[in-house]
Amino acid sequence: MKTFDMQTYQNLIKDVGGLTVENLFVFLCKVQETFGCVPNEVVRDVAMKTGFSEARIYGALTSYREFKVGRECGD
Amino acid sequence: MKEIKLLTRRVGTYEPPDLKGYEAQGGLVALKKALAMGPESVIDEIKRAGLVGRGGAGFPTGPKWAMVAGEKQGQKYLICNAEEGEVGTFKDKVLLDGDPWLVLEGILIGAFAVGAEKTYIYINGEYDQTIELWDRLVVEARKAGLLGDDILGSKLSVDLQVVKSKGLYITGEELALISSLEMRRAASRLKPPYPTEKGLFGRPTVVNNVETLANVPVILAEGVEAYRRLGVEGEPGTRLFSLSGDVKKSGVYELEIGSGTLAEFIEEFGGGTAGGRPIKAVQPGGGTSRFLAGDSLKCKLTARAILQAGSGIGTAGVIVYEEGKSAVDIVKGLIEFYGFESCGRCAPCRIGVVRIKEIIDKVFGGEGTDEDLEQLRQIGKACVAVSTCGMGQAFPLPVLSALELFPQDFEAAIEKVSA
Amino acid sequence: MKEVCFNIDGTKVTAPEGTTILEAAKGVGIDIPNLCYDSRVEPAGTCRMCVVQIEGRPGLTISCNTPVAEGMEVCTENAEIAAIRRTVLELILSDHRVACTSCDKDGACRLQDYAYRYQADEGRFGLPERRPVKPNYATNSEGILYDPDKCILCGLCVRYCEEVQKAEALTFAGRLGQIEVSTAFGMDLHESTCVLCGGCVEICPAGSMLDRAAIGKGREKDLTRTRTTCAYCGVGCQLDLLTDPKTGRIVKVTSEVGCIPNNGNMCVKGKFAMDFVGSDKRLTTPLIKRNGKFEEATWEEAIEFVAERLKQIRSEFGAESIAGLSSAKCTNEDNYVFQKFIRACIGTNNVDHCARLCHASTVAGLARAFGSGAMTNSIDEIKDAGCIFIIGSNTTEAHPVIGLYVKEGVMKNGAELLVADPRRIDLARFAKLYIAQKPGTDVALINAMMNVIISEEIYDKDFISERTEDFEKLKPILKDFTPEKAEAITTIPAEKIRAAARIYAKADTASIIYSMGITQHTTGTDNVLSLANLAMLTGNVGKASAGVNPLRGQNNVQGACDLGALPNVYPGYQSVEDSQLQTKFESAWEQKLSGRKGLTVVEMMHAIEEDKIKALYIMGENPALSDPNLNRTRKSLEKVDFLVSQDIFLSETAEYADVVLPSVCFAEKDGTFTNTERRVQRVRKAVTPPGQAQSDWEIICEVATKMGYPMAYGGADEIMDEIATVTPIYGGMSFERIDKVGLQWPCPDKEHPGTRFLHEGTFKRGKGKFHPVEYKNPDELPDENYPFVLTTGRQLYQFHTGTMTRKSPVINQVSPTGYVEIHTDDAAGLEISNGEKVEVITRRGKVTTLARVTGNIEKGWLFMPFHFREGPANMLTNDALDPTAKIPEFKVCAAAVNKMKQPV
Repeated sequence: MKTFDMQTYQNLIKDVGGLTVENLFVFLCKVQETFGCVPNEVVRDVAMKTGFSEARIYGALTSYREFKVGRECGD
Repeated sequence: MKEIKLLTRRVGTYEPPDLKGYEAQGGLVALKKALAMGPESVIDEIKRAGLVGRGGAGFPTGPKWAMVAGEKQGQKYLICNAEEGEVGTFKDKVLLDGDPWLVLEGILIGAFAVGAEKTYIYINGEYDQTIELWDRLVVEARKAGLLGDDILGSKLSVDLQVVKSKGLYITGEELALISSLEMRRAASRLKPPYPTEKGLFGRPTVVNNVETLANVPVILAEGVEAYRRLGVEGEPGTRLFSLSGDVKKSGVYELEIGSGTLAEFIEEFGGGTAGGRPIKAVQPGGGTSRFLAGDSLKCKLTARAILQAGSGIGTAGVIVYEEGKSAVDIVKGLIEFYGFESCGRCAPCRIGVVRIKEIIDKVFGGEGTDEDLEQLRQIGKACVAVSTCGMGQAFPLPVLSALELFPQDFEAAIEKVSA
Repeated sequence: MKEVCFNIDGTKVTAPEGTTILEAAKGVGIDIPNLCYDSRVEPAGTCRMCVVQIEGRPGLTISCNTPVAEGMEVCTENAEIAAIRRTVLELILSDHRVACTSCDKDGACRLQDYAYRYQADEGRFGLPERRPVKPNYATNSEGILYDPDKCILCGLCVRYCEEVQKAEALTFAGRLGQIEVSTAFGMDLHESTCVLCGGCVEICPAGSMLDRAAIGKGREKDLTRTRTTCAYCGVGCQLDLLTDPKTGRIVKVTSEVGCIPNNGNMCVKGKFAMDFVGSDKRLTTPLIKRNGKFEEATWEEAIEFVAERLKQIRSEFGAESIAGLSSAKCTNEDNYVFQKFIRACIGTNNVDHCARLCHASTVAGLARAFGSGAMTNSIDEIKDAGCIFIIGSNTTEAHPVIGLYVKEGVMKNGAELLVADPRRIDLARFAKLYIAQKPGTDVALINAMMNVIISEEIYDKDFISERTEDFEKLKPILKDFTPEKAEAITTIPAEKIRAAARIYAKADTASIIYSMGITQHTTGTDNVLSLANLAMLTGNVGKASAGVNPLRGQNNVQGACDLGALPNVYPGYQSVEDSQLQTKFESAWEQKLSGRKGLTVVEMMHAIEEDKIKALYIMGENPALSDPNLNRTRKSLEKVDFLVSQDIFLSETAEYADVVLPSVCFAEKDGTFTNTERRVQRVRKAVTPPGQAQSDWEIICEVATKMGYPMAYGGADEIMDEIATVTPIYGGMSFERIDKVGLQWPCPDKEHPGTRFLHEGTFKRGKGKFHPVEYKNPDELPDENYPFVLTTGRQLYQFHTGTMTRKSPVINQVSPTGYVEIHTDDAAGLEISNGEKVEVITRRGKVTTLARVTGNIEKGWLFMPFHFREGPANMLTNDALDPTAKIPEFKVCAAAVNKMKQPV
């Protein structure tokens, strides 16, 4: 598991062929697998890029055991 | 009673994701046929075949497809539900691992029939190797021109996204699954609107179980008449039964629908009970189905017969419990699982599941009272009557049926206290 | 709509197709219990309480999400259903901290009501464990308290936030056992996207969300409820002020679902900014300035003093040397009495008010084009428009509740939203097309849109020939006004102008919404005429959901105009220069009147410089902060011989006054306001005024009487009766008729039902008139020394000069001080970082404020809100006037911005 860095994150976006609403869930799964959590800055970034609200994405992530977000993420 | 290999005939005969092995045994014939027939004829054939969903709800597949196909404009989706989170159910894994091309062919035919360009397969997160295989399968399929644009030289374009689920029981429920993909909370939602009207991202969406989709190429390749020759009136074809619990031999078996009784199935395929004791009870349709016991076990393996016997075929996950175990222990084991799996969206299920778990723990711990049993009945009944989705409506069923079938077990647990 | 016939509990009922069983039952007085339903949000079916039995259907069905069908037989309750409801309630209560004994919601709580109805035992399934006390998203909020122990997770607050307000601040977070309402990351509410509308508090059925400031101050059953009209913007929301009869103070504000025009919705100001009413800074006694210092005086002294000074000035310099500023914050009755006082008692038409600074150009422009200068449509028609074109209105901030209707139109009804604004306002999120015109270039944009509409022949030929005149004069001017030409002026790409024109012209019904971004220009009247041209060109006037809709800024700016607080017209827009009308008013008021039109706001200030105005009587206005070019305004206020300020606070203006008269605020008086959709609505007294403060009209009557022109009324209703006799558009108004839902003018007689939209069939002036409009540059353009275009406006949390809003701790938490918005690149070029102190300079002044670095404004442009006395934007604004409407150009001036030198 890596600590979060922008380069790896950008590469993940490339890996999924660019971020869309249709692959957002899969993408955030990859973020979780790669970094062991979904940092707040990722939530903010994907919210901006997809038009979904930060609250929606954050609330969704907290409904799964496997996603770590917010305080669990050290944010 | 003997197995009949209709969907599972290629399982073990080739090494997925090898496509040649699949094609060599009649693979892709159905897809080619479908492309030649056109979407409407495909849907007609599926309707004629009388295929019903194998995921638990048993909705007819053809009419479901027709609803989505009816929407001519804009994006549509098809989702293959491979969450398979139900207790005692592991039959889809056999197809996903053993003959994934069959499932993919079903997905492609479905996508073609309803006009969905984007498809998903939502696979149980614990099936690590399955997911790995499907990732490779997608690469192979793209190479072979089975995914992407102009599939098999036709105008068909289909993309498939493999999604590893995040280990929640509820995402096996179709609306929760859709919510999950929409990056909403993993929770069910209200219907109507049904997914066929407003599904993924508000667009018409088909959600089909793995086994359901695996039936599709078989129907088209073998022909409707041949397919309908199997099974019983109103329930044609075969079904994959998962067998587990107190049996000598667990496993997945493909049987012609109605070819024998539940008791015969357990005896012949499971080799009888693990401890050699008589059967106390059986859940024929996964962990949320009502228990059957005694003469009820003589029911045929059809949805109708099992329903008449007092339970439901559900996911066809047959769980066997032998004598010697208290029904209190059995339901405690089940509620240990379900007690943490409510999505929390609707009040009765969210609170009911926790209260039921607490009461069962109390009864199990020897501190129960008659009032506790009454509360179990009341809460259970309320949840079944008014919960939003299948989970909330079903999780109390084993508890309620245990109370009906084995009241002495509960009374014994309570009397321990008074004594 | 098709009606269906069905049966509820044995009663035959008909309802429109699509009505849910729950709503239909409600319609016949059957309350099917529910804890998660509200007519403003989509049904979610989370409480499962509303289940009913439908004949022929297995099991139970939830009624909130099931439409009625022909012949359906519904049983809303039987023993089985009642038992299940009781069990579900007992489950909910086992997860809800029952604290009715100390809960503010006690007596107004749906959960409590149903628990009582079904005799649910709160301890049946055990009592919930208290959660460990830990901070949540609202812990630090001044406005809202959230108690997760009481939360029943019905989701109403989250859905309201998402679906109605579309702030998307709230969500559920966590898994079973720990699910709570939260913001993203659990951040503090006031730092989230929350707009503090209070909708979550209002909609909460179980006391989990509460008004923080009201806790312990009284349960609803202990409080007195007074329905009145909000005193902030022109939407005219119906609010219920809940007051403590013992202390006489407002405890909290609510609103009822179903009320017109706001349907129970509020904004932060209506909900959370009523602290000013009970503020200890309120004026309580008359003050007379002696030797540069205010000294308390009795009413007799003060009235005597004012009357004497005015008489003296009038006899020395003539009536024309006196001017009065009436107030858009005061009631219709106050305004009527004030202008009557100036006209009949003083003897001049020098009466105006702040409408001059906001919609003078609307009144001038629309009157010329259509014959009537008001919003053509009703607020609730907006949501049904095919296209909503918003230009120069930051609707969600300045008229938040109208913003909700716009969002509803787009999200629920598929309206195509077109937004033209120099700033990427919040509504741009919902727009099909957003275009950013350079400030002051609206005429170029509209002309080019019309050029496209004509060249693509998507205009309404029948409408033009039947309903309008002078179309031929319009054509030549538009001929060369191509989108390419407009692109050079507006900076909007030509293709986008074309797209905008097509969206607007092709809609079945297109509604233009505009506000001060259109009016506050030296070309304000031209801008308004252009919009009128556009609407007539496409036949979008005179029908429901299609028209030209200026949103009025102040609670009663419409009424103040209607009642003649303008220098050129008597009440009801009757010209003072028309001798017949003059005679009519002379006989009504029993006094000789001046036939010369009077001075406008800014002209009054300038006339003081020229010694033409010697006395100024200001009722409830604050020109020392609200007028352009403040240095100049303030000099005039200082210079004028005699200045009266009648106000509720010692405002910036009052400080210059010779006499200050304490008046009462909206919550302390009876009367009416007229909202932006021409709806005359009641204002009702809810609390006792502080000290000796008196109603504005009462004070004016006393001054007039003392001056020898007796004026007296038994109450505000009597004034309205007099208004009705002299004002044809108000002819049918009376307190009795407007008691429940108000009435929209024109309403000429007691039988008339009021008018939802104007110009149906025929325009007020007969035919709609096209006015060819040439593009003109703003008065001041950027240059080397002042390279930026500065524009000014409102923000959500503040109102006008902040006199009222800045008394609210909730507001102060989110909007502590002013700022200037600057584009990220410009800021980088000037090495200015976000939150840094900067100075903004124009030819007229210099202010220090904080930089807000943003991508929401275009490069080269600056924006400042004008509410803040520290760093007042109007020190900078240009007082150049529109030649017709005399409105100053608040919206465009040339400015420079500098990083502040760091203190050594």
